[in-house]
Amino acid sequence: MLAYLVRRLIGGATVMVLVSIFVFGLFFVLPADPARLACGKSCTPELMAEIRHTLELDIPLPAQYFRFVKGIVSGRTYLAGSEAQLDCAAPCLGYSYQTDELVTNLLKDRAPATLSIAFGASILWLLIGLSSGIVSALRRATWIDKFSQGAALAGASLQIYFVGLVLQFILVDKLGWLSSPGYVSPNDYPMEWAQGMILPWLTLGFLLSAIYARLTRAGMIEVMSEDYIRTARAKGLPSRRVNFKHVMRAAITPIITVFGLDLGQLLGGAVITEYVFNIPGLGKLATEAVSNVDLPVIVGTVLVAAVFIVIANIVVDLVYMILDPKVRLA
Amino acid sequence: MTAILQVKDLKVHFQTDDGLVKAVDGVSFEIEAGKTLGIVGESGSGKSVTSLAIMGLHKGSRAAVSGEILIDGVDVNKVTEAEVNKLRGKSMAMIFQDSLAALHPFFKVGDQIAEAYLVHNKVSKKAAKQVAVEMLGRVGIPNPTQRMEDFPHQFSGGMRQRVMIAMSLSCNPKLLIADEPTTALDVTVQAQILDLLRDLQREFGSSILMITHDLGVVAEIADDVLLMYAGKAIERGTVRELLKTPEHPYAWGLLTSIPKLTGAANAELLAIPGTPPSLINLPSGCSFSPRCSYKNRAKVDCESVIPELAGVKSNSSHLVSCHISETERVAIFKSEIAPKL
Amino acid sequence: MTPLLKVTDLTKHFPSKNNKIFGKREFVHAVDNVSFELNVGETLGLVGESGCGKSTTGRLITKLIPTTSGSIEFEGREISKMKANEFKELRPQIQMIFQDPYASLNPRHTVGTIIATPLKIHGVNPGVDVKKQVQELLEIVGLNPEHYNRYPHEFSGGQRQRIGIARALALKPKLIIADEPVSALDVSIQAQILNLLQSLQSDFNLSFIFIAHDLAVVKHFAQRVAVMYAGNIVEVSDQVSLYASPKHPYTKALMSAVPSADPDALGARERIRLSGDIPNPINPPSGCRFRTRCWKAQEICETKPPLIQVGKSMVACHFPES
Repeated sequence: MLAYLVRRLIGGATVMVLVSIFVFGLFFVLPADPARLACGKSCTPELMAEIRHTLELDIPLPAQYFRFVKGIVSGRTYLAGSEAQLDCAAPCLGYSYQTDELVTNLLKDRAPATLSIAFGASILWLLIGLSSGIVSALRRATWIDKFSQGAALAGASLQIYFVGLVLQFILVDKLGWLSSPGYVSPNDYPMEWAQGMILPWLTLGFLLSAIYARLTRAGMIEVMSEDYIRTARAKGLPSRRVNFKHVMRAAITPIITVFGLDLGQLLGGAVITEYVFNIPGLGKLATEAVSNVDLPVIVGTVLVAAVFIVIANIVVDLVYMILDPKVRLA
Repeated sequence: MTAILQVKDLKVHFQTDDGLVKAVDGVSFEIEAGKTLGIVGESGSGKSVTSLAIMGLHKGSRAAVSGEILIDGVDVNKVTEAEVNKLRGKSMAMIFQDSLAALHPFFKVGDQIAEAYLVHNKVSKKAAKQVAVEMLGRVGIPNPTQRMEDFPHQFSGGMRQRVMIAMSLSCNPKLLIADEPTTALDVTVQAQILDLLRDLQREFGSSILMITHDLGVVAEIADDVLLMYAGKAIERGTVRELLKTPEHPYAWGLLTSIPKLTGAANAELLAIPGTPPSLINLPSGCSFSPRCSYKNRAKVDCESVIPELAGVKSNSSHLVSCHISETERVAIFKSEIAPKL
Repeated sequence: MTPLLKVTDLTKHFPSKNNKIFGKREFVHAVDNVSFELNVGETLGLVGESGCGKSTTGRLITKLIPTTSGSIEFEGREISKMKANEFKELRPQIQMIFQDPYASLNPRHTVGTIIATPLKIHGVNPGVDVKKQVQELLEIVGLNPEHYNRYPHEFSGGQRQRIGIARALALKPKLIIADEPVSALDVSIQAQILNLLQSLQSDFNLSFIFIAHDLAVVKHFAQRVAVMYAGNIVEVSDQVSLYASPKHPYTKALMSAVPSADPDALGARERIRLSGDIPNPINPPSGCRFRTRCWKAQEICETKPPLIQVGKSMVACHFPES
């Protein structure tokens, strides 16, 4: 088991290195001057020269990459020695000229909102998806099943911006049950935080629950026809125990896998949701950076998203290993 | 001797898109305490469907089950799933052919056995685990305390089958139903398992219902035999009657078509012509008649009239369903079949 | 006369799935130093329980898998090291029938396609109508030639096995390796297929290697029998001698374990019950691999027993039965 973990970690680290090289190289593969790109929309030649110097864009490419990586590991200092010296503590992901902020600080600011959305929505979609799927599987071919499947289909075909805006229109504008969605720190204003998050949670939760409902239903139905479930019944186990212990235990594995991957992706930024509800998260940061052509921030958000996905993959593999004794003991 | 299991006119029909499948069509038999009944048949004979019906495992499926199945004074067909559940594991238990598929892949073997015990016995988890260790030891698994913590895929086929036997006998049921438990095992392992079942039967006093297609297995372990074909019981008797003096042409066909270890070398096997019938479009009359080489010896038209299961003159508990008269059957057996065995 | 097939010291070791990146490489000793001969028109039965290596041996001879070492001579020619294009001209002469009639036929091909494919691949009789050849083959195996266009799922297990046999016969082989051809069939159908194989053997002068775990089936069909245990051949004999007086303890135990359908025979037979399991193929016992379960085992059994002649049989045992 340990060997497996080590292999996965090495693999993950390799992927991160490759991603960082790729993303970093993005800067230079584009047929535009990186300094120009970091400069943004309203640019002047003097500004460009200044950027080139500050961001150390004039040294050879591998050396830039090396300094970039060193910055992540142990911090970096821009314009060392001058009075405009800027200390960038580890992990240093660069400096955004347009916003005059260290990228790492920007990410730190915006992360809590995304994390709030991600964790709240994921709990919701798991609850809705799993219970809907279980009910469907146990009451196959009844109207409950057909209704749940229909709802799941709707969830899978509708778009976040559509559902989100419609919900906002109904719940905020028309009925006034909720105030406008937004983000406040849960440490300071817990009630307002929850209130502000309800719409994003509902939207994302409902839409993503669709996949889980279908996965759970299909998984359970398949497991229920297995011989070992027949044995469980033959032992005289009550059907509740058969379904929730024996069936779920076998059916849960693909669900957990997909869940891990979905969560990992969401942590990198729920781009559309944040945009629709105007939540200041990583996704919104990324879209802003793209429209402003603020390359250091783009690099930072992509790397962070990649980290989350790689970690999610490794965690999912480990969980899979824990759940399936055949994999664990091989 | 009282019968611990009584099956009367059991029918299991499945409605499918292609038609009504009469998997079991009117089967009756009894098993007495401490005895072994072998149900013999090929695929499509209905033997496995019968065993599942006894356990009530068709409830909730599309099968229409009728007839009486009396065990411990309860008619399995008349009561609810919850009530049959009380019998499962306690009055009757079942072991299956594919032991790897029949054990939960994600739970330890010891836990699965302990669980079987805990369903019917209110004891602590620790006590149940102790029972599991004892059962594993009793069925001949070395180092039971360690092997309890292993998963099904970590056992060999024969050992896994022993685990299933341990699990099924943990609550000391009166009836053990074994559905082809040795078919997937090597012949030396099969011999070990059959020995084990015989020993445990003596020790626990349980009755065994052994489902198999192997006449050798039947000879080794059964006291009585029920021969099934296309959903019906066509011959019933003691194991000696069925294997030494059978009276149904299908039984003759089986006995002469199996290669024997002790038979003449390179002799031609007398194959039964044709194939088993479709259970949706059963032949009219006797289901075996299309393949029967002796139907012209019957005075009744075998292809239009279904024969009844009736006792032979010398012993009313040896039953055969065949239109050929008894004297005629005995004559055919003596002159044509016995010399080839 | 040169034997049709001569196998000498055939060995196959598979790398273990548990091999770590660093550390000792372990191997599954599936087949170890197996040697036997097969003459034209003869059937050799290869008998053993699961894990003995009989199926692997069959696959080695048909070159479905490469050998680790050893030689396979077909009609005097060494084929074990031949490359694919070299062997292509010989392949039609060595064909295989598989165990599972449900898995060995492509469900998306019609029966006609399945049987015609070998003919097309080897460019047999390009001028002659392929359909006619296929229909002839269907008739030979006892199927209706009009069912040319049907799919496998429309046939029963026994009929599918006949299709497999027709496919094997298409290229007019000299040697057929039948890997448990009747194990997956119902008892009443087994006899039909065995009879078919016997009549085909005499009609077409075929030679067979009949792989099976069922001693009774092999007895019926083979002139000579080789018994395998844990990758080794432990006894080779003609059919009469083997069944009348088995010389190797394992053969004896194997035979005593076969249940007889005669209730009277139960008391008469000597019952030998083996304890324990087949040895781990990754680390088989040194010397005689049966010694861990053999009631006769002595210290000398830790050295490999030579194949010696006892009566009419060849036995690999330090203490063969007499």
